[in-house]
Amino acid sequence: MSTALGLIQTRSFPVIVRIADAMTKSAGVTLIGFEKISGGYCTAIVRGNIADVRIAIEEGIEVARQFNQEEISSLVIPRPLPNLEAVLPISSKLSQLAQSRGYSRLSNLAVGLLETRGFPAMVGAADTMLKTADVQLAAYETIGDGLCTVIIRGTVSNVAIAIDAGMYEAERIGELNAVAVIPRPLDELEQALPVASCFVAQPVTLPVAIPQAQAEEVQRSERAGERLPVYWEPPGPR
Amino acid sequence: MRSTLASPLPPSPQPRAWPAQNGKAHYVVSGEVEIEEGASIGAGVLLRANPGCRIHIGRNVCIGAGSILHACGGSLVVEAGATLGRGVLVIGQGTIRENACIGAEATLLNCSVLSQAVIPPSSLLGDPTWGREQERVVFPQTESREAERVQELPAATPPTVSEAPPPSPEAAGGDKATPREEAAAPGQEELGGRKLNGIPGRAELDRLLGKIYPHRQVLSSRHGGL
Repeated sequence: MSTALGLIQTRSFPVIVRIADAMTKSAGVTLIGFEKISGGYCTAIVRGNIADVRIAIEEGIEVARQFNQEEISSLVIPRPLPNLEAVLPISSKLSQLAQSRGYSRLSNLAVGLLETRGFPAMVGAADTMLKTADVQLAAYETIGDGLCTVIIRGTVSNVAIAIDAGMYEAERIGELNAVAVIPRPLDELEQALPVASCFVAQPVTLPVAIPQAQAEEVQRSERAGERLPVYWEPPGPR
Repeated sequence: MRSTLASPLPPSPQPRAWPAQNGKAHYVVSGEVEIEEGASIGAGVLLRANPGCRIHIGRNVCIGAGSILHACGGSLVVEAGATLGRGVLVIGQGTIRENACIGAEATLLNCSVLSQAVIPPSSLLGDPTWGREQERVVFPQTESREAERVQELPAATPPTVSEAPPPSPEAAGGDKATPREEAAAPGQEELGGRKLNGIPGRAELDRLLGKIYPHRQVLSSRHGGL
């Protein structure tokens, strides 16, 4: 891959997701994923043509400033060498891995993120959010330094009201760090976000276990030998 | 034929009853407005309380025809026995104390009037730049919170007239007004010793909520209990 590489790092998961949202909407870049090293540092990785990557990183820095982020570090590499791509998680292999996860039932919904320092505040805020509005708790994410983020999905109005309520609850219990609402995330951002396994639609499996069950039946019943050819036929649609 | 004075006066022709006598409301009330007994309110009076604000009209208050009382940014209290002339305009928050007398066509901008004070007709009280100040304060920070306007205004515009002291918390509310005043006053919500306004993403969320729910001030003024 001969495309440029862009990286931007902040110290908050909702902020980096919001930055990634702004970057993917500002230029023709592909979001590869988020790299979460510990200590609260999160990096968004984008690839694309060099002009697009430059625009996206500038936009990301702008959004980070709006979010009062002090420590921003960013990087644009016009042509990373193949060895770099082979070793570091900066190629699109990561996103292919993510996409193999399957289709989430929570697609095409707004995303709300609420980050607290400490677990009880996050759980309390999540509980309040679920009780306040019609939202689904999609996943949670920890990035070190005591920061944990709860991710909710729902319609925009529901998510906004839920985040507003959860914000006060989190501050009451512990320490609130950041909030973000993304009204309409792009597909690749959705793919990069964690989703709990209960929301991932599993591929429907046909009842292939029937021949085995019938084999046991055959062994137990001595007279079932004549019926055996009937059951060897593939099961029809039910 | 009315020829002699001695004859009893004929019943005076009443083309229409006085508005106050015909049992219908002759003035317009909008928002949270409390009117105590004995208050007499002239025809065509507008009493308008913005969301989160309150108008309280005390006992035996007299409000002349065509007056406008518009509470915004806090409570507007007219205490017992006060008299407002015809066409008086009262905007903002403040308290008109007992037995104050406000002349016709006076304008009170976000200020209070002391007890027994007499305001001459056609006078202007309060800072005339109040409306502009409000716009200047509200728009840049994109937070259209009524509560924060309350916080900013009294400090920014001290009323210049001697009879109009700045609306102090104890002056601005009657007994019933106090809890709501307290709820509306903390514009910078401080919970757990930390300002919630500095949270990354908070401003953006407020902008979003303001677009989705333009009339949300009532909800947000009692956020502490949410």
